[in-house]
Amino acid sequence: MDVLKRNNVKVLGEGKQVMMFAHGFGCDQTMWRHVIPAYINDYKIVLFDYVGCGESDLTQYHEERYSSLHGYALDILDICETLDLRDIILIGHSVSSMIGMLASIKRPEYFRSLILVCPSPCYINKPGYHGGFEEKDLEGLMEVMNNNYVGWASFLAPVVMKNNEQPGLTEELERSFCSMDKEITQNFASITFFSDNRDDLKKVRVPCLVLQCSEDDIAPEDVGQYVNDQLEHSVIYYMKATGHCPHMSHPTETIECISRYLETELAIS
Amino acid sequence: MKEIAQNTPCYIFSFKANGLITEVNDLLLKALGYQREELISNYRFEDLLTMGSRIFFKTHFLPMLMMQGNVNEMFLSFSTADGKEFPVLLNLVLKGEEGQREIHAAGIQIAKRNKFEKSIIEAKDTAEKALKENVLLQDLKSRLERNQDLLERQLHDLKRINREHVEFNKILAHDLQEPMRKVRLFAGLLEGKTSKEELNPEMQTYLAKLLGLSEYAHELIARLQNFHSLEERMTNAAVGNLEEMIGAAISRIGNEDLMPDLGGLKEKRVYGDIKLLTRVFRELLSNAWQFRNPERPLEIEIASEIVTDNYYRSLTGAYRYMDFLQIQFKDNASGFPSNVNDRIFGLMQKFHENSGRGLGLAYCKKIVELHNGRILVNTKQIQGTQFTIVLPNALDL
Repeated sequence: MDVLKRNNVKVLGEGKQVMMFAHGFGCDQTMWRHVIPAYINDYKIVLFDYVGCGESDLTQYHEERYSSLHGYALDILDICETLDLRDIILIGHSVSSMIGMLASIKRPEYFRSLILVCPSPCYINKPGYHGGFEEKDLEGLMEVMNNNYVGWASFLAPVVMKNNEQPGLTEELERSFCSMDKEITQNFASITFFSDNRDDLKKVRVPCLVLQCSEDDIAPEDVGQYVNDQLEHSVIYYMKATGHCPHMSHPTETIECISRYLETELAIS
Repeated sequence: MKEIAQNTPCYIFSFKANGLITEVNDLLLKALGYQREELISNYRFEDLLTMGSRIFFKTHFLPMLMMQGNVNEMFLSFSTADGKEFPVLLNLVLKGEEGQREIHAAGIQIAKRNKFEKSIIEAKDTAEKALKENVLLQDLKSRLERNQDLLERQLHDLKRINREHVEFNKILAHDLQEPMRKVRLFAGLLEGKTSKEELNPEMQTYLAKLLGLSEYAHELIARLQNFHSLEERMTNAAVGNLEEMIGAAISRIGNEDLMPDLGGLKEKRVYGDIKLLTRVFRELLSNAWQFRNPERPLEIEIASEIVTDNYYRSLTGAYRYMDFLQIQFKDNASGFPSNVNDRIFGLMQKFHENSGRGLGLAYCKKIVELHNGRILVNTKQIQGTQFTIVLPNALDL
């Protein structure tokens, strides 16, 4: 099996230190495109899609393997092993911050540091823990997803976007965003939102940065603080950026935060 | 907003990048049951959605909007002022530069159509489920047949290998050991019978070498036999305490300077043949001591943790996630050449001068694997070595 093809792995840049970017639920590697240019000259950039997302090889999707976030963590570890990566900096968005942590618990030697963009170890409220959601909210999510996939046939029709800077790119983006399999995406949604990985936070040995947005109701501030408190070596940066996808909505501030962390905490200039 | 926009039979509104509503037409206000002053600048677009719609919007459509600049035919449900679901189909378009972005939206109600679609979805789901189950069953059946063939072949091989093992063990124990015993015996007799004066110094050296080598061969054979018959000496699994096992290993070595840092032991319960597993630590600890870097004091850290991993290691395409005990043994001894990797665990592999017999790490690997676990190594010459031992976290494996 060809892991690089399976996960649509792209290796860019000439640098030595590896930066691997892991996309969140509902997206693929293209979501990092505003951030990548800032690091492409000094780092080796590794991009990939989880199996079932973006332009990964859907035939490699095993329901049992991906029945848990641990299966997604195996994707990251497989890529590290195949490319013989060590001491990488992993930047994971949303559920990928948790997936990255799980991977680092299994093979700490692969990771130098984890940058967690809007992390949450558990989305559902539990006794003594406020994750932000009730189970019925998530059932509602499944229903909305179902309804949207009905309309997706029309999404697949080629629509040429007006993007004067990079016309080819938007077209490609639209295709990949939409090429998600409904069932796979729903499985991913349910393990993302129903997993409870709070106990795993204490097992992480790798230094971490938590990037916390303001007004993020998927991963609220309390949750970011909780993650930062539970992790052994961690710092938290509070961002002005609002919402759940700062690397897309506020790439400048996101780059500024990542670079600040690399310079101050990891002493990379 | 122009008069026509207020009453056109569709919902028109705008919001900022942070979600705050800036414009809304009369028709949508009426449908949602809000006053204009209430909504403008007080509510975010996502605040008006049901929770499920909110999550889907933020994880799917918002990223899409950021990347493409627009989203079409987005199904979402508003939650009205009196808490009712209000399903709509919306188109969004993103305007302005980073920092001053604004999103314009237009949409229609889709309640009736939605009901119809729901029934189609249900019927489709049922049909798909049946189809999937059927395909799954077919697939399972052919997989079962294939696995059965494979199992038969493997059982056949296993029987043969086992037979050879028994023979091999017998050869080690008797057929090889016996002539070696006799060599030692006759060499000894020769030494006793001849007085020192009769033998010239050259002969004396030969005789001493003969005795030494036969002694070495005797010991090596005994060790190999010991290694080979490890399976048979496995006792029933029990529960042990990791800290006590490390303590026992240290006192067995009898070296008071071995003081590993055990601060990282987060889980101390170990399942298995505790005596054999203690031996693993004995080997790792004495290895670290023997090959310590003369330029610095030896430091050893032993940490443990419960991790979740795939139970199936040999079968491909099979997955079951289970808890394992992961033990990390890290030293700052002189390390191994970094290209040796798994050869470290090979029989009779020696990577240092004065290495002993090259069996220690082979023992470790065998013991761990007999427990259905695995041992990995990550080593850097001069800097040190890290061993990762993963053992099932249960008695009955």
